[in-house]
Amino acid sequence: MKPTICDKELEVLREIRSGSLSEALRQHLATCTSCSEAVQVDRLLAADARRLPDLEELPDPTLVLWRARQQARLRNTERATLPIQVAERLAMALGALGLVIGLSLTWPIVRAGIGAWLGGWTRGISQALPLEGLSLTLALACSLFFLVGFGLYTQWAEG
Amino acid sequence: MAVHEIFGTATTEPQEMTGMDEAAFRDLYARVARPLWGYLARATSNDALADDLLQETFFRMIRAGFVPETDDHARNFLYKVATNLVRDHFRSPKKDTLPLEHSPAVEGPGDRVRLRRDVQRLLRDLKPRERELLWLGHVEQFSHKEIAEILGLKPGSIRLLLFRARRKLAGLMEEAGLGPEVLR
Repeated sequence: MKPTICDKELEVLREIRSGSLSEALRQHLATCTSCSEAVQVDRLLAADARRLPDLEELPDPTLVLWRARQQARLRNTERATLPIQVAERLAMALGALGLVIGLSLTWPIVRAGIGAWLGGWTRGISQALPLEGLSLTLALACSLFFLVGFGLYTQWAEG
Repeated sequence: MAVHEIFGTATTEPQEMTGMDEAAFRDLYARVARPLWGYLARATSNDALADDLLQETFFRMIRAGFVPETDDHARNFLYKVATNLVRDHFRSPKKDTLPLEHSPAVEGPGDRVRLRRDVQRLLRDLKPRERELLWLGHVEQFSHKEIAEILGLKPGSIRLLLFRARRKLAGLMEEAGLGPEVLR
């Protein structure tokens, strides 16, 4: 017969654990599969729990305290250095903005300067390599892009 | 040995970081760590992992600034945190449940280890939720309401879930020849 949940289960377990099972419940236990399974499982787990390692064999709470202290210190440091970090970021943003504004204002002069510089430089390269015109510009742009990318990646990796 | 003797003087007082002083924390640890470790070891079937999760549970309690009002309050909170950690562990793709033979903490002398091994084997065939239910209900003897709170289930469903888990374990015990006479 398939067992069903028995209403006396908690009562049986309570008395079994206290070591004084009444005669009525003893008789019930002999015929109730659900209760006898509950008692069997209860005994197994209780026996297992009695054999747990002693407190001395468990991780030292000092480590937990130490970790908590480290984190508290880190949090305090972060809180203390927050204004500096904000100022740094603000300075970087202002610097970048200044650069953009400066470049846009002086762009004709800069462009002329770069053109003159690249003109001399590319002439030298085109003599050494079989690249001309657009190919050379593309090659230089790719190299520049790669260098900037690598620089950004290094910054990110270090940060 | 005091904490500062091992790791150097702490600039942060324990009260600031824990919400409770160091002595109270150690006292709580001494009372709750062992049964909580048992729960974690059985829920995960991995003693080494239970060590880690035990530390993590207490660490999270400190980090949350939790101050228990009573022992039951502390127990409920810690078991809830521990249950969530176990759940996160089983959800994460990297599960490092060791094979029983390589689980270091079960090596040792006598019947203590033998029975623990047997129980560990049996419980491994249950689902984590079933293991948690059985341990909380039978070993910790939490009420159905408390179990529901810890496991995030409806209180009304605990009785049936416990019954099913118990039936399953009883069946496994029978298959393994772990009858009542072995457990006395």
